[in-house]
Amino acid sequence: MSPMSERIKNTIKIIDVEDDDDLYRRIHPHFQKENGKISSAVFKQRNPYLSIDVAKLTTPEKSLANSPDFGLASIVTRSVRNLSLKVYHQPKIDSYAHGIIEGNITDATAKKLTNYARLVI
Amino acid sequence: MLFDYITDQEDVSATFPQKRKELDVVSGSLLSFLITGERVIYPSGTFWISKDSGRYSSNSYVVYLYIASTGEVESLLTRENPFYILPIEPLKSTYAPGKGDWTIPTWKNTLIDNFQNNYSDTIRKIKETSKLQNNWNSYNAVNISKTTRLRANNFLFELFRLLNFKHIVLPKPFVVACPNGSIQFEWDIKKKELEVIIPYSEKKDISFLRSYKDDYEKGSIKDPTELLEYLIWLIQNAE
Repeated sequence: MSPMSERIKNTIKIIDVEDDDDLYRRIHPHFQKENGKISSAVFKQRNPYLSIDVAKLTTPEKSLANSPDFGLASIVTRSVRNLSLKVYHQPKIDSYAHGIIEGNITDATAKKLTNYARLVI
Repeated sequence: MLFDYITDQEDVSATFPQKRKELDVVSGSLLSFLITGERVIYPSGTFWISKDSGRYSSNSYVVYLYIASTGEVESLLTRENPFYILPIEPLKSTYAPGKGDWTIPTWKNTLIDNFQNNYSDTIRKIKETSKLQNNWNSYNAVNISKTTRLRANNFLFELFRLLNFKHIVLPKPFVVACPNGSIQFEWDIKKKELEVIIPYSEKKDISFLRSYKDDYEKGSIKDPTELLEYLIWLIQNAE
């Protein structure tokens, strides 16, 4: 954990993300297909982790506050952990609800995450 | 890449560096202005295609350029490409405006024209990924480079061409940019799905993911022909 994250951890309460908790992931309009499905690229990573928002710590509107034209996908934490990925709460200075999906997200894993996700907005 | 497929005039200008003596294998745009006889303006001046331009062999053209600013004629010889079958007969002749009576031999490549016409939306979507700037997905995604877009165009054309030889129509894919700068093609026919990822780096192989219900198969390819069996699987006997 970075020094900043360590300081944040010491001053901000880190919650446990339970298996039944929903996770939000923002969806750029570019990812949305005409048939209502979303591309697996939504869950493809550039960093060694995927950023998400822990749903119980925010609202869909707050998650999209800086991206009003985006959609929002929701996925249950249990589904993510069943793919051998880790999920935990990692607040950021500008987002208390921020969390991380960590692990080796292969193309197949991203596809499965997409299949498990449901559109909220 | 097998050829440098160009989609607009700006790209055409960029592919005629002044001193080059060879061209990559014939592009759609080269054929376009061979057909129309248009004057082409590029950074170092204006040139016309000489009347001596034409077929050099069954697989290549030679193009003689008259450069207005210097009065020089440069010859550009396309490389032979055994995979690229050029049509035999010229369809029409035309004349270049302004400089005497240059006769410009013309050829029409129906394969490229068919691809451009029937996949114009797909080509446009590939081009539109250029509008995505850094952090476009709000999660630090990077933009899509021009070379990646060109490789995606080329690859799609090759799939189209290979299937065309088998009298199979390539379904139009969904085009999406990936956060790491790659371009992904997606096909979804009934319960069969195929994803092909054109990587952001030429050093990486093209990868694919085939999925059907809960069955997944992942792999990488070095040549478009390796994908044919998966495309045929996708198209035929769909539920």
